[in-house]
Amino acid sequence: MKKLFSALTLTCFTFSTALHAEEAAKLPTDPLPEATGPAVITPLQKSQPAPFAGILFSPRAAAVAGTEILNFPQRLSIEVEKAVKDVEAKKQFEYNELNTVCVSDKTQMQARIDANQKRINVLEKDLQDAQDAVPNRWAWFGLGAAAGVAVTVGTVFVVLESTK
Amino acid sequence: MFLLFLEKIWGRLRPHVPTVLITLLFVTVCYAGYLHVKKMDEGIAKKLQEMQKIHDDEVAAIKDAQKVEREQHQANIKQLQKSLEDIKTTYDAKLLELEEKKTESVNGLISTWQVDPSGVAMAKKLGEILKFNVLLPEGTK
Repeated sequence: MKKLFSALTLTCFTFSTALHAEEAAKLPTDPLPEATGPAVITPLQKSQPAPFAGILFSPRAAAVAGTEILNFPQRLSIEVEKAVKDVEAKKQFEYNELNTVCVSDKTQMQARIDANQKRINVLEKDLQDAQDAVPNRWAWFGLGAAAGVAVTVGTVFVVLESTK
Repeated sequence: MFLLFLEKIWGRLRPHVPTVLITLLFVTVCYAGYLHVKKMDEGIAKKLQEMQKIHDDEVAAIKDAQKVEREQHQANIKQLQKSLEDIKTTYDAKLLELEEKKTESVNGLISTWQVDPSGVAMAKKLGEILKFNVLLPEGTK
């Protein structure tokens, strides 16, 4: 029984593989020769048998397709030109914006520099005035000593006079 | 008589002379200090005013610059909008022109078909446009 089953299974596998191999061998190498051949266009009357398999366009569809293809470079040129001009305008805007910020910053910085320079001038003038107004320490020392002596002598004189 | 009167007055005033002199000295020193402080205050006020003017000028200049910057920003935005609008107008006009040209071309091809219903002329034209081979029926040129 086992031998019979083995023989039957072996036979099935063998024939099955052979059949698949035969099917694969029958596949055509070029199923659509019109699709891989040169581009061909042909006029065709109604009910006339077509010389090859293909896509049938109405005259208007053919005219529109032909015109679209014919004008595609011009359309592309217009689109590219628009895109380039858009980018140019945006770049010009960015340039103008940066220029504006730069000029403004420069003006503000110049205003700060001018103000600081004025402060420096004022402070330098104050410093110069202060240096010019420095008192002569020996003169003031002498004056103070003389005034002290005079006040002391005067006070002593007054006190003595008043207590006589 | 008069001398006697003066001597009597001096006798009464004599004990107060030190107090008066010291008071006068004190008042004089205080007044001198007051004048000195007043002069310093005036000088400081003048300096403050001068510094405040410098600060005000600086702030005004910065505000002017910021105002000019804002106005320039607005002008830049307007210029960009105008440029984009001009570009779009030109683009639309060119597209319209192209569409008209395409319509004329389509109509021209259709008229070819109408003149020659066999389609040979149109096929030749399309073959020329698309750079395709034209397969004509037998017996046609």
